Amino acid sequence: MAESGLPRSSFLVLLALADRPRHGLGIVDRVEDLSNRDVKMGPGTLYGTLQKLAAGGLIRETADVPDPDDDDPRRRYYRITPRGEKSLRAEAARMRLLVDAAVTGKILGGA
Amino acid sequence: MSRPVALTVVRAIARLVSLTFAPRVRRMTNPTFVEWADHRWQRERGFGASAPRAAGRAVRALVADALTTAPATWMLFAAANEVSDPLAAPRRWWRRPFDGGGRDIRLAWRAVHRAPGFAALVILTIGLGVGASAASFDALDRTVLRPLPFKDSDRLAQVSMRDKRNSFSTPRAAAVAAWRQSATLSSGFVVARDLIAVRTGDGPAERLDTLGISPSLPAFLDIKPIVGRMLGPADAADGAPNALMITERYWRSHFGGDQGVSGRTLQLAGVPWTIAGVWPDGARLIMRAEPIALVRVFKAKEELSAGSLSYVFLKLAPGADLPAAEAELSALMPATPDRGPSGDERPAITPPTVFLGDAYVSGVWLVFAGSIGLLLVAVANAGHLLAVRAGARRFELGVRIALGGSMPRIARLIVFESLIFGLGGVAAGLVMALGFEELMRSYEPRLFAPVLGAGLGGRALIFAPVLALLSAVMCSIAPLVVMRSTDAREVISTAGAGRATARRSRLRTAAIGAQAALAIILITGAAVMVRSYTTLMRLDTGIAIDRLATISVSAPARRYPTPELRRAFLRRVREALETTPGVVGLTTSGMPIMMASIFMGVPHLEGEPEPPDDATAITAGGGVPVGFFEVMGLRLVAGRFFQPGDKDVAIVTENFARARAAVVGRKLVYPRGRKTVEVVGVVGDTRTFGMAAKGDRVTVYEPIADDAESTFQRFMLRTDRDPAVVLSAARARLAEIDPEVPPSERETGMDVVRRQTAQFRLVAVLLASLAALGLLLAMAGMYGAVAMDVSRRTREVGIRLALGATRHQIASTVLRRGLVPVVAGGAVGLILAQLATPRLETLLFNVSARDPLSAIAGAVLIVIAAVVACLIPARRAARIDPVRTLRA
Repeated sequence: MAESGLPRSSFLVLLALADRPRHGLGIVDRVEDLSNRDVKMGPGTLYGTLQKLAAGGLIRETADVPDPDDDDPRRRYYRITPRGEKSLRAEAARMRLLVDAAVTGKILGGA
Repeated sequence: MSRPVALTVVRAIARLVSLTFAPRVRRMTNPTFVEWADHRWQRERGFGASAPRAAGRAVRALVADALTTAPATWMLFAAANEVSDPLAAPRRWWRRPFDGGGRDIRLAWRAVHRAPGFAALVILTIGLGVGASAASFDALDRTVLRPLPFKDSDRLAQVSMRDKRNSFSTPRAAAVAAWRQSATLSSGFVVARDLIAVRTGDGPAERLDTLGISPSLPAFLDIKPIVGRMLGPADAADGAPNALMITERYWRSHFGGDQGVSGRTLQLAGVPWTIAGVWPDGARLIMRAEPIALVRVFKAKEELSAGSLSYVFLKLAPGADLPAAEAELSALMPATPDRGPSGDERPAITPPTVFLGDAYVSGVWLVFAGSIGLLLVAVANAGHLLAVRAGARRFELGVRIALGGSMPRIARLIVFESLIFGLGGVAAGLVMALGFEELMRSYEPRLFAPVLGAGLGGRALIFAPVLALLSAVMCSIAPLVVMRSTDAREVISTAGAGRATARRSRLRTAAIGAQAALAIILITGAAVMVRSYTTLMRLDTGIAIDRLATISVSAPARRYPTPELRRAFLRRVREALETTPGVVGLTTSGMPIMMASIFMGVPHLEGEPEPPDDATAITAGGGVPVGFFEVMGLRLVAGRFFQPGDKDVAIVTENFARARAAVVGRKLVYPRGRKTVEVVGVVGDTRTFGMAAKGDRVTVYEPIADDAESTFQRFMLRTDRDPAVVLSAARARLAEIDPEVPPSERETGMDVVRRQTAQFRLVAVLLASLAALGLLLAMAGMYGAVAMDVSRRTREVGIRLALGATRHQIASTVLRRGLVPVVAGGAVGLILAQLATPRLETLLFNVSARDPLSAIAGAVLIVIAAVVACLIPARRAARIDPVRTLRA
């Protein structure tokens, strides 16, 4: 997924925010789970990615804290914007196309 | 609750790593680097990682983060204004000296950035030293320093039987059963044993080294599978399906690391076995040359069925005293038959076998010491480079001081600069460390592949940055000295055209001298090891080693149930080998090539007093068939070789005969008068005890009938062409006879030599490469220092030339100024080397640790290097045009 579409870290962050808003460490954990413990996003990468996504309008900082138990005021929560959802979907569709091609070409086993 | 040390380290590293990011990132990240580190830590611990492993993973992620993202943040955020954070707590008084640190780092970064070529040079220099050190530390750590990766490894021990002469044997099953039942000071007594499995049904049969273990062993040692499940007591029950584990290594090489390998089946001797999971390579229980491929548990009765058991592991009860535990085991031993043949065996508890033996351990330490030497050369080199640059920046420093920059602030700037180089050095060093490790792995896979995992170990990842930062701090000493000598008034008034002060000249001398001294220590050490290795390789083995090959075949009872069938099979094997093209002679042998397997104390001639039982004079013995000596190429010194029908005769090696007037025809008495035979011949000395065995030991040969009733035969082939080629042809022929019986011990004579000298070669090669790198660095350092000196003296040289000095005089002055510190440093280095090399003694073979030739080689090399390094600047100095320099 190098040339076109989203960089991998951006894709993973968007994917992590797809179901609900999360704070920084929450994103890190979710990305780790989504990637089958493969991607451990460091603080610098996370910050850089969030900045880029926010600048591009794909995510937004949000004031509503989904988890009322969490009252740490230093935590910032992010949520995905409609625009972010759109690019996430487009990217996922693009990836499915590639996976389908790989299945057809017998590179991967498939359903 | 006290915080684990590893977490503190991770937090500190997180802070350090954060410095590689642009200040704005550092300030604005949410979570902060330290919060992130805490979180990462808890998560890894939550996944069940040990503290060091959790730390290793966290640091790895941090370093990856810095490598991939940090440089970009500097570009992205360099232009952004500093953003003040209203939420930030007011600064504590003790933090005030650090105020403005961000700006200083930016200034330092800018200074580094301005001279990318220079920065690359310094970073590469530090990286080279750090990389070599990190790689050798990793090898040291994984083999020597780190405790075994088992639960309670500090109480883990091995029990073996020891007799009065200190020879070891393995405990008997009955004793182990008794211990299991009643011992209180130790527990466990789990068993591991070498087995051989034959994989069939997938191309030609393959012999696989297999570890048989007690069903309770994995739980006892807390070994976790990499994939699938661990074997356990359920697999040992009668009627349980056949299940085994494959080792990580075998999994990667034969199954491509397939995660879904569990549940697949392997055919072993025609019987299907299900793969339960993958056994981690880290959990190596026993030392052996060939890596293990399979692990299986003993079935219920099989575990303690054999007469004696290869490896028996126990754990001491907490606080138990070792002699008391040994006494308890001894008291629990069943009555006599289990006390061994001499009846005086006692149980002895020892630490689990160290991976690869003492010589290996010293070798790894030595290579580590060598890499630290290389690092010091690099530090001296980089420090000098930085000092030279600080000298060149005296004007800038002078202006800063004149504008009111305080000395500590400027010192901090210099330290920050060095730190940036240090961090660059970490990155370069880690990349180089991976390269070095790859080199070690590919060079001697047998030694290193099982030890070195993929990539650097966690502790090496901590070690490398610490080392690099230390180096950076050391590097900043020299420029700090330069800074202290900077007088603002003088600098400003001369507009930076500073004169070469005595102080700077001393610095140059010290830098060159130190590099020469370190380089000469490295070279001398390496030269001694290389000489030791070449001496070893020049040894006469006494046999036709380059025309020999060995191959062993056993007739398995499952395929050849009767003695007749077995004999017939081995006869066919022999015929096939004899008629293989290239084979000109064939014999069987009880001993592998250059590896004594039967030891017999010290024999003597009839009429001589019985010699004392001396462990260093132990003799090898063994039965050999008629024709053995001719095929092996042993030289007949006196008497004759064996003939058909020989009985109660022996042939001895020359070293036995040398001290005696006549040997042939006399009677040889075996130790303790066990038997007497007649010596019929003397053959040339051979290295029965191994290539690198020290001492001059005797071998006694006795005749045996060639057609022994054995199910196993070791053949020696004499060839008239490359034995490796003959060996593969022989293998193909044997596969035609029975593809289900793979031969073992397939080696050429030179394979044996290489295997037995691998350790020496490895240490020699690694140390020689370190020395070569050290010399290269030192040369670069000398060249830089002298060239700098010449360029600074351009004007002075011009004046001298104008006053009538010849070009020859100028060149020789430059050479002299370069060579004097080299010679002085070299002399100091030689003395230090003489003090250090005796530590190599145990690693050396027939070479004195204070080998004068090696010292001379070191001295000559360093002087040649110095002359070469100084020649170019000297020529440049001699070509200076006086008119132009004076006019400038």
